[in-house]
Amino acid sequence: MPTTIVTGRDITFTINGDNYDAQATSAILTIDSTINTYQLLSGKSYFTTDSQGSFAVEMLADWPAGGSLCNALWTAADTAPNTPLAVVFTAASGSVFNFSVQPIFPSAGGTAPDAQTVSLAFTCVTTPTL
Amino acid sequence: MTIEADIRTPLQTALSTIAANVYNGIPEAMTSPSICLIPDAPYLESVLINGATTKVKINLTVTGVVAYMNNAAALDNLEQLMIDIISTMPSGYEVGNVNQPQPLEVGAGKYLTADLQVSTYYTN
Repeated sequence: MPTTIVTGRDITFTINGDNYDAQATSAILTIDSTINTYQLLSGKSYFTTDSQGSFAVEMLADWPAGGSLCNALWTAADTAPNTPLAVVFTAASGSVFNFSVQPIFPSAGGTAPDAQTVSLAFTCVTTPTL
Repeated sequence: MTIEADIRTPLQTALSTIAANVYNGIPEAMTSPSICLIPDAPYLESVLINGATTKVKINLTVTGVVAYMNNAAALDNLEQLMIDIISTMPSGYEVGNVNQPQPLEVGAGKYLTADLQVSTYYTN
């Protein structure tokens, strides 16, 4: 089987229908599983009791109001903090994850010489489906 | 859409309010005072997701050039030129440091130059 390489350039994603291609520099979906281990007479047994997803996004800020992704995230977290946002995350062509995240506020500001960036750590409220 | 049309020439136009010749690349003949937009290293960086649409971070050096007749006057003129460049940089640019001034001899001309690192983003 030939080696397959996918890079961050293969990623695309939308949050609440908004496309982040032009602003995002990194996007990582992580699922942590809670695995209980039981020591039995016959050896160890493992049982997964829970899984929790998180979605980390690094992006360039685009704060001017009206159509800005940062504004959209802020408004969602401010006006409907308990209404999940639908995410469609493509890690590479053909591998599309669908899930929802709880709205969070984007950070604002940065250092003088650099482009302002936003770091987002979303909590998944549904288990991503592939 | 090209980097020259969308990035370097608009930056040249923005800097043209300064009392100096502004070139959007390396000129054939050196004049002073002048400002040259020169590719930095690395020049183009792919830092955004979705490679299907080409988006790059562009690193440029804005080089200020003044005549080098004597140390004090040349340094004063260069400092004023670099401050003018920094204050005229349009929004949407990361503005970095001005490097140590360097003497430059081109033919019979003697110049004092300094480089300012700036960066912006371009989508093809």
